[in-house]
Amino acid sequence: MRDTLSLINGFRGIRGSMIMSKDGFLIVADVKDRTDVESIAAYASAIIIEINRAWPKLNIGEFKMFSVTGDEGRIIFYNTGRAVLVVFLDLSVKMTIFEDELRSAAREIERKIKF
Amino acid sequence: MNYLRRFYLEREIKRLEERISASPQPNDFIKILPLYIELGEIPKAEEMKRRARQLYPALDLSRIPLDKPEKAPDFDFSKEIEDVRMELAANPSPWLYGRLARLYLDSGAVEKAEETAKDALNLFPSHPYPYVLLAEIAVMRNDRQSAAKFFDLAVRYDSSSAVSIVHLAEYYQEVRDFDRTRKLLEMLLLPHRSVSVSEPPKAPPAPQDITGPAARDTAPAPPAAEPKKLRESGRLESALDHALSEGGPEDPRYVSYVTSLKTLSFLQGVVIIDKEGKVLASDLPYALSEDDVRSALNNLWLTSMTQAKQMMLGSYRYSAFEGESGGFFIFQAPECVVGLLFDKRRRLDREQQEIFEFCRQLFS
Repeated sequence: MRDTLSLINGFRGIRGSMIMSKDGFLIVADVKDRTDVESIAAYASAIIIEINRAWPKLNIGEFKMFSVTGDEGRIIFYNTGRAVLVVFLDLSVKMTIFEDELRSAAREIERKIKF
Repeated sequence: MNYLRRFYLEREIKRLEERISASPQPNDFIKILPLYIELGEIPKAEEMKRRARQLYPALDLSRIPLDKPEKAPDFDFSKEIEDVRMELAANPSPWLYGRLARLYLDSGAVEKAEETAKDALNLFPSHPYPYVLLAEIAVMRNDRQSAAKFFDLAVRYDSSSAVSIVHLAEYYQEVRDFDRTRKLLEMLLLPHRSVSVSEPPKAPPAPQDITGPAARDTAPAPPAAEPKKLRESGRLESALDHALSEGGPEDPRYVSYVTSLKTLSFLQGVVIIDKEGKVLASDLPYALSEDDVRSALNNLWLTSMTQAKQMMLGSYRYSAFEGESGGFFIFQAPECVVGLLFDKRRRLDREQQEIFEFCRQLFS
């Protein structure tokens, strides 16, 4: 799974990536700076809990992806079944450029975690 | 004939009469004649037949009987059922399943009609007609709750199904859910909406995105209500009166934001709340409760905003959530929070920046 993360991190504008469990525990991380990945996993799980509460009300099926954007960066979370792929991005990054690669990485992680 | 069937026939006849008057097509004559006959309007049927023959002498109208063949005393149900079953085996379609189910119903075999409708549902799970059949069978059994559930599904798959809409509106009025009743009745009033359940309508062209302040000037006005149409039914009028008496007026400023936001492609619904979670304006599909979407928006916004700070993302700007069948976008404006529901054709992963730019300029 580290290989997959390294591949993701090769894109310009990506600060790092990690895989976490849905209940907020870090599985593996590959980040370039001193990001506190364990805390981020815990904070992200609060959003996942809220998504699980809100989702039936919105009637839009199981969640596949969510992102949170602030004026200093963006984090994207991909649902990979039993885990979540987390990608840290610069604000300047245009998602259209490598979104397909990120999805395919998420699918690969899903396959790896299943078996 | 019950009131709903009459309502449906009258609306469908009106629609076809308008089409024939504007541009008479052979198929429209073929469609309208059985409707006149079912409604007992035999002189009108004869007149329409005469007109069709004048315009299209080669058109064979002789096979359109003056009454439903099933009503004839010597009608052979077994043979007709066998014929339809053979046709179904060769060329299955929701309409043929419908014909078979109705034959079973007319011959008193309600259980077999239900089985047939369920078979249709297994083969065509995204088609509205099997749901309409199951709903009508539930109505016959006086099981209103199941009927509402099936009509609800039928409306999800064909938002122009007048029969389903009217049944559902009645149900929600009875259970005093006036928000849903109002939204359903508004669906009937939308201009250019086909009310046929026998012919699925073409989807309207998706609006192009308009970005920048121009959106405010070019956004189309919301469809005006047509009170005259409401009077087609006293019950509808009464339901609408009830519905309209609920809730207070929305702030025109936020209503205009909603109108502009509706120009975004594949948008299904909008809700704008203040920072205390109170709804300022909304326009949501009938199937969603405003209060449910409001609370989902409020909670997701509060959590995202709090966690954005914790995750060192700086000041919160927006969140995008993508599900299997749609997406939800949250934008924080200076005075309010906006929730946008999209259908699954809108890729929020790729297009969130564009939507953010649109919202930012609109609310700046």
